Amino acid sequence: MNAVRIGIDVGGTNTDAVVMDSNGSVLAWQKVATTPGRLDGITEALTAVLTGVEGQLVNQVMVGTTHPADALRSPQHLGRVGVLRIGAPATLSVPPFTRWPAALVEPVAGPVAVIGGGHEHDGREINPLDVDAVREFARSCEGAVDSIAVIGVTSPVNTDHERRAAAIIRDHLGDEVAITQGHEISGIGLLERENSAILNGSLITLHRTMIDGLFRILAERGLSPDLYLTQNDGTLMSAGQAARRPVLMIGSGPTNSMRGAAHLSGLKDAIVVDVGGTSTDVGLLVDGFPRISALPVEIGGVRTNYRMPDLISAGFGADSSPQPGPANVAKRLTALADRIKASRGELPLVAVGGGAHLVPDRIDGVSEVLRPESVQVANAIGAATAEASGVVDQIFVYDNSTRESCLAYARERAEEEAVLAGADPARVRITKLIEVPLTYMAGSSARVLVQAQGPLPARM
Amino acid sequence: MLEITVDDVDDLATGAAVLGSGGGGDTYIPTLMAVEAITHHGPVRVAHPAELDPEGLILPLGAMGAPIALVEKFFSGREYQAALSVLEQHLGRAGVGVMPSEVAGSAALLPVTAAAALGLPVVDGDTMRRAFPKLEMTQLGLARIPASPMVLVDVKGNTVLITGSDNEDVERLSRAAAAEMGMIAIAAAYPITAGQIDEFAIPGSLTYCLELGRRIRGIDPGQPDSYVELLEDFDGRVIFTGKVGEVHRRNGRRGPLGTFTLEHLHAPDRVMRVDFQSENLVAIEDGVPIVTVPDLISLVDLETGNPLSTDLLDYGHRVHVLALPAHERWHTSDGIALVGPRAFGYDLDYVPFGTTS
Amino acid sequence: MSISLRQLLTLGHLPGHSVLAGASGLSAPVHAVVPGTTVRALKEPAEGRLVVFAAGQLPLDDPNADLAIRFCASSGIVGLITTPPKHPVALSTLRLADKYGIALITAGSVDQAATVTALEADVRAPEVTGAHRLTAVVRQLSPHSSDAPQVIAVLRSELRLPLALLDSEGHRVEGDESVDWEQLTSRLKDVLDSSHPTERVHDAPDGAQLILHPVVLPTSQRAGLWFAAVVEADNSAMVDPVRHCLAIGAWGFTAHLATRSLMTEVEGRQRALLLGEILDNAESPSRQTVERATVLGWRLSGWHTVVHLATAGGTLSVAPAGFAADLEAALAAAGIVAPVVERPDGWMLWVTEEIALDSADQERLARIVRQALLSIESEHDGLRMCAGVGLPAQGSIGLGNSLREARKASLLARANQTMAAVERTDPIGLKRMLLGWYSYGPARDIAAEVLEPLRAADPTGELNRTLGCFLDYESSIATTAAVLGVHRNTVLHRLTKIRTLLGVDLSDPNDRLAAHLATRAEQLPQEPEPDHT
Repeated sequence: MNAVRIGIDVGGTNTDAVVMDSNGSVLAWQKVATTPGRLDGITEALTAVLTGVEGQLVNQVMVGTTHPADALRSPQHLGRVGVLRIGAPATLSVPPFTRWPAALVEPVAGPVAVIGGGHEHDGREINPLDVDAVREFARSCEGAVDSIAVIGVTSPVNTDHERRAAAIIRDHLGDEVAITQGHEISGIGLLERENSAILNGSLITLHRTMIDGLFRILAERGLSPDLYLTQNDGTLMSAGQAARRPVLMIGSGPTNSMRGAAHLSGLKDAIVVDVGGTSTDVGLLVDGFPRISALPVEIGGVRTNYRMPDLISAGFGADSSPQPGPANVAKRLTALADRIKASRGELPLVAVGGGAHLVPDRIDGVSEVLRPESVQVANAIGAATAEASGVVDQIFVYDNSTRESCLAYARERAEEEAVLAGADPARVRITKLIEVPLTYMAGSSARVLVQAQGPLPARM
Repeated sequence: MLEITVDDVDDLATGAAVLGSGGGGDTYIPTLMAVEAITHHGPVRVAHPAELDPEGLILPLGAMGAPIALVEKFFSGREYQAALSVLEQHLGRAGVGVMPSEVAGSAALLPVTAAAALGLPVVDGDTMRRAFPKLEMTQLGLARIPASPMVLVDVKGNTVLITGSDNEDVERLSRAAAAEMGMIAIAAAYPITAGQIDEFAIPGSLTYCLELGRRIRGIDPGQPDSYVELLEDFDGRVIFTGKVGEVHRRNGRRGPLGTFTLEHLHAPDRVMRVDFQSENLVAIEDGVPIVTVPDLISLVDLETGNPLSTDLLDYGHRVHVLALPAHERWHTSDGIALVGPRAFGYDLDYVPFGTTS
Repeated sequence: MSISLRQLLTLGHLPGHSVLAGASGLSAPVHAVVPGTTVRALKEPAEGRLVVFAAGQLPLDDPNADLAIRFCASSGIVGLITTPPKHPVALSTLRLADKYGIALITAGSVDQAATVTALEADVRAPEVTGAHRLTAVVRQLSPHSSDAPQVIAVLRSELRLPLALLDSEGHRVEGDESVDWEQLTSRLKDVLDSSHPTERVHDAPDGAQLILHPVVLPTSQRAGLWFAAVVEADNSAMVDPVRHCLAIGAWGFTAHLATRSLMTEVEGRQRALLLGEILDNAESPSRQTVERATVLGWRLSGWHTVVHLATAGGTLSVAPAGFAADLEAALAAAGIVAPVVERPDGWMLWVTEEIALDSADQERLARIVRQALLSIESEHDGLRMCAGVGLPAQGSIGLGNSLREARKASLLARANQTMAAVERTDPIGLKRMLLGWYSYGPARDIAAEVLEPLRAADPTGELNRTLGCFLDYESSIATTAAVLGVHRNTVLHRLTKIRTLLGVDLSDPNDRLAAHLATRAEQLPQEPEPDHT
């Protein structure tokens, strides 16, 4: 008996579902219109693809959804968040919620405190955690917030103060008030991490409702698979973890589309052109993954440091009118393909999306143009074939220990994180290692970002 | 009376990024700090040196360490007071103003924040009117004014006072101290009197930076020749418009260094190389040096007009290469000896600005 | 007479050098070779000069490299020689060198004075070098050590240009892969296959010249092989030296071939005859037989374990000449000393020990044989070999018994789709059962019928092979794609087609087994196994 997995992509316009076997072949797919509550559309798509599939065979369901991003556009549904920043006196010069859009601050901002504590880049304490201040903050939040965000200076390196503060707050407020800790959400960059943690807190209630709905839909069909959600970087998080981290799911659509293109074409390095109804996104696959933008990403007008695919958009699509001619499309894609490439030399191009047929066969700087089957549901395929990952983002001072031992440590930790996220320990591998020397410091310090990744273990 | 208000901060930051010549550190957090400080304490008065007591102490202020550390552990806003107090006590003079050490990168904004917090004016001037990596590379250093006494203050309020007669020793000790202070510290070096500014520092740098930033932000980057008028007013030029074809970056003894190769957008056989060491230092086209340090080389994004720092630049970026002349005080033979190409290890002669095209 | 920079570099004064950029400058004539001092000194007019810098004098990873090239372009310098830079050379430097055609040459260790002296001598008297080469080639060749790789290596080290040994259809047998020899000789089929082969010089694209020299064995008229070399247009001074050197190389190689073929042929025939006698008179071998076996190092008493080998239906149906010797050498390298003897239906080899090999030893033997076959297969495109390992048996009678087991096992191996399949005789009998089934006539008919739709849809047998392979490799698409040498999408596509054509569900165990048995039976040889006792 061969187990199957289901990938679901809930976009703003369409909801796609796909059933795949363990060899990566597509057994069935369905595209339906997205419904306001999301769940009805999911139900419809799921019902269609499950026809002829035995329920017991479905062991994994992966969902990519844009609903957290949509929620930020109608802030009345957002929850109120109490914000505790640990690091004073450091960082006092810029308080939480700085440069947030007023429309988001009003519904989201709860009590705010910046208290003593936090860590240096090497993990030492800047100051001990101000336990009394944590208690005082917790009291100020009683009955005033839906959730709480706790952010410590340099918490990606040392999580101690965030964890201890969260425990104290939980003692006061009980388990009903969800607590988002910065280190669970994002890497280096205090304000960006803080912003992400607050956004996360404001989305938690909404997101839990969605995930509960997903479980219910599956249960109604007699299914009890492992449920995963795809993150912004295209990797998976178990629904249990994901329910607490909605902000990590906020931009998974384009990543899923590119990962789907990689799977369908069998290519690891390629340009991906996703031709939608009104616009076209051009991205780059490097070793099977989307190249990630180096610039900060704003979500709902709030600056974060999420790893989002580096995309260039062109203003034409399958439904554009007038329809651009083939020569025009070729010319524009030639320019876009050249811009997205990371180095000289030719690359193949994979065309996906509903308008894939608009991409011409010959484009300068492109070795060949591929249009694999089932590209209409590349997003859902990307979700179904996603892997689990772990990331370490930290500043190392090589004077204290050798560069090799620092990098080895970072690799090990990333691999551990990936296994914790559900990756098969035997198949975890390092997918990214970026080492950035620090400007104006001697050559012995560097920011190191390591990502490890692995497929989910196959199981019956 | 000129004041810096909340509305001026983004102009100042943009000007500082261009004058940073690819270095100087990211201005995002310092911008937020300045906006907060001005919002809280009110606009900052910009003082011409002549308006101040000539015997009064001027605090040339900047940050020392790795600018990246600021993204995680930025300042409390209380460090400036500690720096001022230590120097006032050590020198027995009262502070009358704050001056940017350099109107480039983050260091252009921190003094504004400090001035707001201290209730002092910010002096319209700096020590170099661009960014340089070494403590002795200032006009004051050129005039043999000692960098010492120098004060470093960390976020906890710890202070380190360094006194010494040799600027290189002071630099070495201060870097060690900054590293121990968690990689970043507020630094005040070259304490001078208001009376010394006109002669030994570079007066007018702050308003120059503000005006440059305002004009750059006013540009519509999509328009051809949009930089022409602006650069005429600043005696600058666009020396190349191209795409980054290759980036070589490596760790040097003093931080990252390397080479960008740019390919001209419209003339495929035109190639320019820009060699950098934290800042862009030398631009060479077709084997001919076009612009050399201390003159400024700044890369701006073709589409957005944003200045690009050396650590963000990557293959495929489309850029204008802007060149601006350094302040004339650098164009002396002593100035070139201190901060010309050879001071950075390039066996190249300084090319007087505008003599090659 | 002047020498080009390219010719100068072929003379071997700069071992391990590389041309980083400015290759178009290699065609320029060199008038003088001078030591370099500073970058600024390159400004002085110096038409046709090659400048040699001492280690570290001209770091190509520095902005000054760009200035240096620009100065060369205006002063007429054709190239720069220096040590490799510590860091990568900037694209701008390379582009500039290409633009102005200034050759940037680096070599690991440049002794400035010695290099200048040596290069300068060649610049002054280029014709002297040809004679030196000829003597060097003669000195290095001998009939005992002149196989194809060695001859090519000697010629290449002296001539430093593209060289190859071609067969009479223009295929490369040995030598440079950078040249498309087949394309170059495509119009010379008549020449290569001529009944009176002689040395030829032909025009090649871009003004280059192709030089061909035949290798003719005493026993034949036609040339089975040719030495070939390409001389670029700007290197035309080399044509005569190359012709002479190829002639010497061909002479040495012919002598080597003649000696070798005589020895292997005589020895191989003797061994086959002797083995035949032993097997025919296994109960009481004659004294002469035992003595001759002893001379060859064979021992008739003791426990023998026989391996039977055969070709397994790749596109190459005949094993290459010298197969037995190659295999013996490969086994010896793995520590197994065993004679390999040609038989009417393949080859046999055996090991003899005081006590019978246990199962682990047999497994090891099978593994070593497989390794040896794999390496031989990899050297011969389209060759597929298979082998069977018999159970150990005692004495000269045992030798025959073990051989029979080995032949059956090799039949099983042949049904396998893997490369270099090796099967061991299976004492339990599971595989014997399958063997019985495979060779059972009606079963084969059923198999043929089951697979008929595939054959009808695809007479080339690709679908059939894909299915067999897919089932052999536990339904792994990736492995199937790798073994068949096709893209995984191709495999996916074929499997979809197969499912439709056969109407089977390969995830159903019964369907799967049936399909698997059918493909296996299908892949066996058509004639019935003669030895089914």
